Amino acid sequence: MKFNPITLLMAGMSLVLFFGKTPSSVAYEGVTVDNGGELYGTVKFKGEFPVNPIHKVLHNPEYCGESVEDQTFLINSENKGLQNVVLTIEDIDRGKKHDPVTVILENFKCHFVPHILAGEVGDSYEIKNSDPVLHNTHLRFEGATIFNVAMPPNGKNIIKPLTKAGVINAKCDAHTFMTGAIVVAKNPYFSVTDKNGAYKITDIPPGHYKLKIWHEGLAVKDKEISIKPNEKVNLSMEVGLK
Amino acid sequence: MCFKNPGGLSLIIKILFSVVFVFNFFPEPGSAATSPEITSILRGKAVYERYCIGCHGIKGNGRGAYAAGLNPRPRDFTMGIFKWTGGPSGSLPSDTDLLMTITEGVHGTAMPSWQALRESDRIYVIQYIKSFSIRFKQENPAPEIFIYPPPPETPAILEKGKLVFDKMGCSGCHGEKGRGDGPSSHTLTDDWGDPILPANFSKGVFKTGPEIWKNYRSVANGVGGTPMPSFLEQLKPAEIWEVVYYIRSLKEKE
Repeated sequence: MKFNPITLLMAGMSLVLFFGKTPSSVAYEGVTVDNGGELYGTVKFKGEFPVNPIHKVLHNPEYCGESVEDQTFLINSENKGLQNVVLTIEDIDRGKKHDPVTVILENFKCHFVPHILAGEVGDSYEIKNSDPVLHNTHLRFEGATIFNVAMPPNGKNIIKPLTKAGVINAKCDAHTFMTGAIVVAKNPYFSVTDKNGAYKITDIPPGHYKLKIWHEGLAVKDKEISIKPNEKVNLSMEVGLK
Repeated sequence: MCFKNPGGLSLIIKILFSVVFVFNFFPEPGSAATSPEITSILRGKAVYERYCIGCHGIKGNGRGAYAAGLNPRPRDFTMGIFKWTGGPSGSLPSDTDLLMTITEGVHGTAMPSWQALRESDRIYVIQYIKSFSIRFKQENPAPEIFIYPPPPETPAILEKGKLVFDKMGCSGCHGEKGRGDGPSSHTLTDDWGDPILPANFSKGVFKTGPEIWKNYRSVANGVGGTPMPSFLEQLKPAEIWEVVYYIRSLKEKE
């Protein structure tokens, strides 16, 4: 059969326009999961430990100290556990219920505490300053400022909603060595490794998924996971610079 | 392939196309893309390509032919980040905000005042500038903050302003005397990773020009994409005026 080129072009554009309009992500739906599985394990650092840079403190050294060690790689010297790895299972659209919470990002002793904070779309975060010096919390998403708020000593706490999945980078411009991140997950299936590199994700509906593994200083490939009803799966891994 | 009646199928495709096309380009009232808007974007493009392209570049990324020698660099419009907004930190600028910047220029930088252009052309070019960033399709500018009328300038207000300046720690970037030389001043970068210096109040020249309410706005909303944070939620309006009068008093005699 023959179509004239204009008709073909129209057909093509119809497809693009129609599907282009369709929202790409589906809102997460919380349901009861009674046969869910669990994923747990540890993330260890492979290879020689990187040396965190030492930043000289130019402003407020009387309070922050003369120098501050970068917090990108927090590795347990005894068991090689890597802290602040965020593991997320993104491709679950229906799963366990999650009541919105407010997670805290504290300016404490010239660090963001926690250095890596995780939350879910729909949660809120509260910025507070416990230090006697002026900080500012400058949050960026893909490099562009979301907002930049002054956090003076004894100032007001600032509460904002987490609206979009992804990584929000935090920086204090007054003390540029002060960096951190808020990792925003699409659903409640996420976990941040503790000081032993341990993590645990519970109530996972049975199925095959992709596990995303994020660390601010590393590029780690996704892993395929398979969860059977009520199964506990140990997935430990080693990650490194190469 | 042996459809007997390709004409019929073509007709269906054409109808489908028309429906989808109409839905995309003539959407429900109140949404962004209406046809007068497309007309203004096209008119704005002509204005842009005549006057703005040399610095801001054909793609609106601030990399025009004359951009390399300029400090600060011309604005990259693709990020949707602008220094001065009527709404709180992180808000998009309104057309009024952008019109103000275009009309008055950015004092002390290469961005001139475009007062000589017809106002309609300035408004058209704003529509074109907005088309460089997807943010303007996804969000609306937040409502402007309310700026209380300035109290009269008195010695007492300057004293209180100094207290606010010290208590807030403004000197960390702006320096004890407001010369833009605080201990953090040389570590600062903007959203593009370019080094940026804090305002030097000793010169008495503000990028926003001479109007005092714009200093209030910069303290309250911060300066978008730069290290200057918003103090809106940390200071009372009276305290913002106090510190504004104080920083303006730091101008040094030549």
